[in-house]
Amino acid sequence: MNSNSTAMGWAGLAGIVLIGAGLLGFLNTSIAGSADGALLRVDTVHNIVHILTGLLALYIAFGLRGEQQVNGVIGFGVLYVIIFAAVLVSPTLFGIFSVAANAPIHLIHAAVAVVSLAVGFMARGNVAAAAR
Amino acid sequence: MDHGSDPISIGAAVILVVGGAIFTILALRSRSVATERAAIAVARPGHRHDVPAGSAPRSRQSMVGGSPRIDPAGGASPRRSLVLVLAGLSAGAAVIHLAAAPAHFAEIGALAVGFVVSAAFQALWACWCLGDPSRRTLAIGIAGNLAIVGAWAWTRTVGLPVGEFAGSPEPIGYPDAASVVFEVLLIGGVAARWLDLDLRAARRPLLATVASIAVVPAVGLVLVLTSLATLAIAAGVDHGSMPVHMAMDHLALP
Repeated sequence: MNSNSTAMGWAGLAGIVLIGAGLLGFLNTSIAGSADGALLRVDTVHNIVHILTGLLALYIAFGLRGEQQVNGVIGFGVLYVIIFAAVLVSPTLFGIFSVAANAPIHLIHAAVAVVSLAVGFMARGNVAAAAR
Repeated sequence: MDHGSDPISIGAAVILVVGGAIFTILALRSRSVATERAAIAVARPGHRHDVPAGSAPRSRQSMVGGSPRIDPAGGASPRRSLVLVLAGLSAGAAVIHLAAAPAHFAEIGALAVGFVVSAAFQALWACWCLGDPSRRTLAIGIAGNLAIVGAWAWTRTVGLPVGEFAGSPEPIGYPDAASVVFEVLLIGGVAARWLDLDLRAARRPLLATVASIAVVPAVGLVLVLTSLATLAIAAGVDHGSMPVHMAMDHLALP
């Protein structure tokens, strides 16, 4: 697996998981939804943010190539560092979310940020090494 | 955890962490292989680092508007990165203005045509901007967005002469605040482009790299904020009458 396919694979996985989590939140079942009895309590705004960032990740995975894709993965990591920090400071994102983010949500944000940066920077190193 | 158990969140987190660990290990492995290959290629007799005069290595060029842009850091040049962000900001403001137009026709009548004109101008300018903008395009962008920001400031300090808020300043809501932030950032970015600050950044590899990477978070934030602003307008809370999440509850979303 070369550097670009690693970056593409990670962006694709992150995109699918984020879109899946966002769509599941809209089903509003006892498993996931805004009802009090739902196992996973997520609100509409949070679902939309997950879906949008998931779409962005899929664009990076399948719409970009080469160095642009690698930079895109790093940029995606930077975006999630911002999101992670903002939600950590204010679990309701300054009143935008009706349901406060819990530990797994913080873990998802942190994992996406750290792994995107790690995969992106290592893939970038590969591209630079290959260019020499 | 807040609610006892969140199996989907935990499942997603586990997938991301385990998947992330796998991809990180794969990236580490492929990095070492690539480094070894590069070292072998450098050591090989006859290996050439140089390229024909007047050209640059393919991996360090980006094609913009049919002409190659040399980028010391590789990938998209700072100029192209800035153009993409400016186009994104303009398109985001255009979407917010277009979404706000119907409700304002009911409030202030024909004056609301300004929302449609603003949306059309910003959408067109985003398209012009993507095609390697000239100085005239940049000047039009600064003047147009200054006028829009000025009109917004007037309605928030003095108030419109007609309509529901006639003679009194309108409250600042989330959608119009997002739109004005986009426009102010756009004016600043266009000014930077006008002063060729992006070309100066291109001479510094670190800045060029940062500019190339910054496109995704910048456009991603614009995308998210524009979507939330549009949904808030659709729920009828474009003047800050309630928090965004309450506005979402007013929508017929499941």
